[in-house]
Amino acid sequence: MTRLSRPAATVVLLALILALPWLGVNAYWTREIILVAILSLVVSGLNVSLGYAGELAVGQVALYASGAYVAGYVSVSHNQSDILLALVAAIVGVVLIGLVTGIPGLRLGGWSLAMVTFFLVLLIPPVLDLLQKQTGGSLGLTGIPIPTLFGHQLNGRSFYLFVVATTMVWFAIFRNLVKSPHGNALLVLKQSPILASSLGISVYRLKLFAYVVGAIPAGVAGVLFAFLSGYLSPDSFTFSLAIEILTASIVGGSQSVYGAIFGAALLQIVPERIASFQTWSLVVYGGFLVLAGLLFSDGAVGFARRGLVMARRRGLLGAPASRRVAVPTAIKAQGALEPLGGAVLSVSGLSKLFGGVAAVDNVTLDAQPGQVTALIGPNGSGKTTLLNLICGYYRPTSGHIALGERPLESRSPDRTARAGVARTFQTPQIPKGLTTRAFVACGAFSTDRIGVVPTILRLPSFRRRTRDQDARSLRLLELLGIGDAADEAVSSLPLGTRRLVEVARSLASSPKVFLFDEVGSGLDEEDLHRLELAIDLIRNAGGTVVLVEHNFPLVLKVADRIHVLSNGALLATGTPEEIQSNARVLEEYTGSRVSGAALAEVGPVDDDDGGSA
Amino acid sequence: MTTVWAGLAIGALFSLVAIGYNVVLLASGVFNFAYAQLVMLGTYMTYVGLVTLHAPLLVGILFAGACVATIAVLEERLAIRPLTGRDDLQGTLITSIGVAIFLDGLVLKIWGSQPKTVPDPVSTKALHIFGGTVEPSDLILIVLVIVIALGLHLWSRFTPAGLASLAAAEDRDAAMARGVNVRRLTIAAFFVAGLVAGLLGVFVAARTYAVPSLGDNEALTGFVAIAIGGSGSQIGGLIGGFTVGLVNAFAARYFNADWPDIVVFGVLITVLLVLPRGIFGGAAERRV
Amino acid sequence: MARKAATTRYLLVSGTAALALTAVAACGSSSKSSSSTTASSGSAGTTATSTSSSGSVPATGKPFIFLYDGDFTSSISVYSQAEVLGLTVAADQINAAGGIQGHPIKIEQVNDQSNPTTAVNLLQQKLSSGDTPNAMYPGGDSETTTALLSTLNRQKILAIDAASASSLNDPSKYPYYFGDSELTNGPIPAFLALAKSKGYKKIAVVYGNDVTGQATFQSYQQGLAGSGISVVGAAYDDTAVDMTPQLEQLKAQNPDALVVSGYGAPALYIIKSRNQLGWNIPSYADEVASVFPWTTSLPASALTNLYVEEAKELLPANIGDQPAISKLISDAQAQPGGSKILAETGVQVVNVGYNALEILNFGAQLAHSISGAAIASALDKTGSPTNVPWVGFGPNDEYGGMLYTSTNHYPVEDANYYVFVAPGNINSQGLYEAPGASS
Repeated sequence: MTRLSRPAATVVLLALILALPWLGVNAYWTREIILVAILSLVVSGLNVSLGYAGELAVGQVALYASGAYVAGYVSVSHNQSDILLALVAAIVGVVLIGLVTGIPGLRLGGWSLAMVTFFLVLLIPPVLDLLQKQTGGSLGLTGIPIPTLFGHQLNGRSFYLFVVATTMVWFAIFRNLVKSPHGNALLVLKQSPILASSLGISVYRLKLFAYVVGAIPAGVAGVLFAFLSGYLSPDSFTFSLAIEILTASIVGGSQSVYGAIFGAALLQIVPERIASFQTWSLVVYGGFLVLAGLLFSDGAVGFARRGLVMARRRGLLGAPASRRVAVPTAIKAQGALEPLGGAVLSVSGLSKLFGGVAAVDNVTLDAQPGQVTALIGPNGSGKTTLLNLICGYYRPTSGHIALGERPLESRSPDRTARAGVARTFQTPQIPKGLTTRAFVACGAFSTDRIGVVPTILRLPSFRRRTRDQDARSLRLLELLGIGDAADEAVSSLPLGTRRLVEVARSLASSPKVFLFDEVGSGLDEEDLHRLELAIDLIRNAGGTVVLVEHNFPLVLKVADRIHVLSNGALLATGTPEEIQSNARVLEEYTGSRVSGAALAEVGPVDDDDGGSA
Repeated sequence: MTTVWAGLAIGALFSLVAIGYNVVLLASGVFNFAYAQLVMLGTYMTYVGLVTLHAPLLVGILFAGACVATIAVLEERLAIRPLTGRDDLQGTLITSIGVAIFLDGLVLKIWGSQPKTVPDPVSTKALHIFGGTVEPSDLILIVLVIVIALGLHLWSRFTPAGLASLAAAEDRDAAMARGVNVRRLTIAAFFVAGLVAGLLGVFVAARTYAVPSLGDNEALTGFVAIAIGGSGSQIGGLIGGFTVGLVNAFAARYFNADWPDIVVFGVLITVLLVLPRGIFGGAAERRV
Repeated sequence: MARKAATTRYLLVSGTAALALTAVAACGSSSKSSSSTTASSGSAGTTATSTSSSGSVPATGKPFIFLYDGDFTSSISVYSQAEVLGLTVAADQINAAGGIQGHPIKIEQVNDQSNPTTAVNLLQQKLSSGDTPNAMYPGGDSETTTALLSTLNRQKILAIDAASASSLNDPSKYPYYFGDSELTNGPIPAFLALAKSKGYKKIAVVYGNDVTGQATFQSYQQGLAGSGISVVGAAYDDTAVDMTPQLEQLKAQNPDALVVSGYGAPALYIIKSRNQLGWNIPSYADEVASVFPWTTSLPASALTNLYVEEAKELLPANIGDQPAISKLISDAQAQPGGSKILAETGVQVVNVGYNALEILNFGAQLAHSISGAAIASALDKTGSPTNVPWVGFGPNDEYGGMLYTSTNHYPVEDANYYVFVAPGNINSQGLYEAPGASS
């Protein structure tokens, strides 16, 4: 589709949907569409927490019920039929409740969170009973008036218009939000909270953000439902509904923006049809769910994709198109980075005790800007613990860490990252669903924040800054010689390219110090060469580089200073030449008194005991 | 004191469900939502064995155990294994819920909605212990549940197969790389869970009768039990189940019926806020 | 090889799924029409056949559509089937005599799966496809009825069912809605008389924490308040499997008698808990619990000091008092599947359906019209009818009390309507067989 016809086609489609009642669609189908729209709102709320943040927070029904009852209460007891007022009240209520019920989710994950949030559904009837005066308890709330908008009654067709228009507005907002750096941050969170904190993202704040964003459409849906039915009872907010919402989300594709609509349509229409099986209905519905789960568990799109893949493999669709594999081109010095304001990283008297064991024992060292400082030592020497202490994942038992003038030892990982510490991981945590350039741009998420409102409204400031961030990502990738990988899915890249992507990502945040954790392990010669060039680029631009490495030849090549750790304590410090000829270091590494030259000949230390202390 | 016994009796049911969840969770990381329905099937299969087929008590119990174990293994084969092969645990939530609903519907269709009485395995004269009354079959259920949970706990810590299953729960791929046959473990776990449900059916039915709603009643509370105790820990499931049972009983004794669920939820949240992985730390906190 | 197997399996499964989904979507329509000569018993897709049955005056003219909405899926589906059975028997009888003002009655049913939103959807579907019913049975439970009444009211469609919430008995709000079975406060006068005769000063009620249970408890509180008898209660959650704590709470308040309200498993659990506590208090199973098959579920030793509040006319001994009930029973048994349903639910439930149509017909005869508004205003003036066509109780239904007025649309039974008998069972005729005399 050309760039012009895509939006035009969308507008035509939307106009068509809005016009359906006038095109001869009867009142029953109009009502069905309204119900599908309402359900899709609730499902899309679940998509935010499930598909994007990766949280099994399945308590949407409770939020849906809250929105409905707030609207019901406001309109009945205050004799108010204005729908906008009800919406505002419901959104406020639902955000508050979403925040409160989201708090357990901050500490929990996985199945525990699912259980807690499922349980919320069970709480709906007792809570409604306790608030019987306001909610009518188990008998229900009657007498919800026909809604009005600016004085005009919304009935029949006009109500349909309002519901469909509201749903469209929400999906536009939702789409704008998730197809943006905010959405990418959520995907990062989904993959690994540790990765997210290392990018400067406060995991708690982002999770709460996700809960709030997920709560709003559920609340809106509740309001629409209340006015549609004119009557509310706890029987409408059951565990079965919670299951329908979850199934709809998964079947439509939890990460798909519009998949919620497909899922909602399926789960609205099919169960109704199954009712005609009478006493066999449960059996049929159970079977339907099993089938849906087996076939569609990665969404309708995933199902289609798997079919295509199989068809292609069997030659049914002709020979598979040769895939362009992202092979990094050989690089020469392709340019230089902008100047990096590296700061001095200093560690003094740092100790960390686990139980009685000193993993890090009174270590003092520093790393200067414009230099590569290497940290080496055998397994169990405390290298990674030291790194984790600097990054804020552990609290030191004693000692100080400072970046320039600022003390770091009491900061959480995300605050440490925001202070200018960038880190790569030995096993790169790679989120699914992101392109390489988008992932690299994530590095700049917290240092170059784009607000939520400009994101939703796609203001010029949003467009400009995302374009700039994207251009910068691309440039960084090209500088490192992996520009070809920019549009690939970052989770599909080979190991060597991934490591370089991590380096690019750390560059994107313009940090004051780079911490590279075993970034050379498992790489072949060509990738190692590219890595050396990359480290050179950073050093020449004035950055502070700390390299934790097993690969001794690499260290000898690039390091300006080397610190050797052993059993948590600093064994030796010096230039590569000094360390090479240091007898104690040799003994640590090889267990025998061999000359430095012989050690360099040994080559890369075997990498598969890559587990560090 | 009678309230305590009542709490322990229903707590034993919740713990039984928690045990079933945990056994499968530990071996495969899968949450078998349909386990409460398997417990319900246990009561019905016992009914079939003892009433429909007029078998003697022991034969009936073994019959029930065999039937439910078979159904559990079938469930694993048809609804779970296709997805675990694809490393897709989200989908298993939906398929196991589907199986639960399927079993509910099947039982309703075959046996109708009236509760079916299963012959009592022991006398029904209430016992007076520690100042409270308790039914003998409830007492036996409580003891059996504790014994089974403890046995499974010891098995998982002290036998190679048990340790293998703990490993598989922590990291399935790593376990497979070390030669643990996760698939066989999973089948075995489903088999054991089903067997336990079937064998205990006669004692469960002595309290609840064979009713189609048993599955729904116990499922979610079983969740809560393992959330409190820590998913993957059999001891935790025991403690969680009995805690929920006792809270329920005391809330119903001294307040009205709106409060038990709310109080249980409060306990759950409090425990989880303080100990996010449950009391005994979830070995199987596998993220979906 | 594995790939080929995977592909084949994939194609097979997805093909089957596609077929299944299409079949479900196509064949499954959410409503079912049944002719008045076939009682529905749950198979999908039966076609409606024409309605004339053997009789003297064949009914002609445009069918009078009576829409029945109920739950045909869950454990209460057999009750929906029983009500439809009653409707069918009534429709047959009325059609044989010329129909309702000359129109043959056609019964349609829809399955709401106990979800009020679904119920409204299904009604809307009927209305917008031009299939407007002439009258309706709106679900039978208070939530569904309340949900449906706003639409039915607007359309002036006559509705009649056996919901029990007194908030529905409001002719000013719902002029076209009538109840054909007593409200939760119906059994109270009889119980009050019993309590007074036994000298009870404090009554304990154990009830389910849902609409019906709460309404029941309130009825006891309000009904007994004026006579100086205090009422205490404890509720249980519908998912509870043990009522010992609730009974302990009540026992601590030293009541003189216990009212057991609950149906199915909960009723069993209550009596079980009572026995476990060794609490030998006179216990009375209320209307809800009365149709429970006590004697097949519990041994006689567990049923001591338990009485069931039962409608007098449902006892075989009193069957002669109202010939209509004998005909109802035999006609119901003649329907396919009828005997089984009758024996499981009891004739009272079948009666609810039967009476609904008979009352409607009675009103239509008074009004000489089948319009909802006309029938409703005719029924408002029912007064004290004699020779009633429905199954009432007492030769002139003086116990049944279908005495509609413009301020009351629910039957009012007097204290003689109920008796308290030992627990029994429903026999093959749907009557309550209680071994032993009344208390």
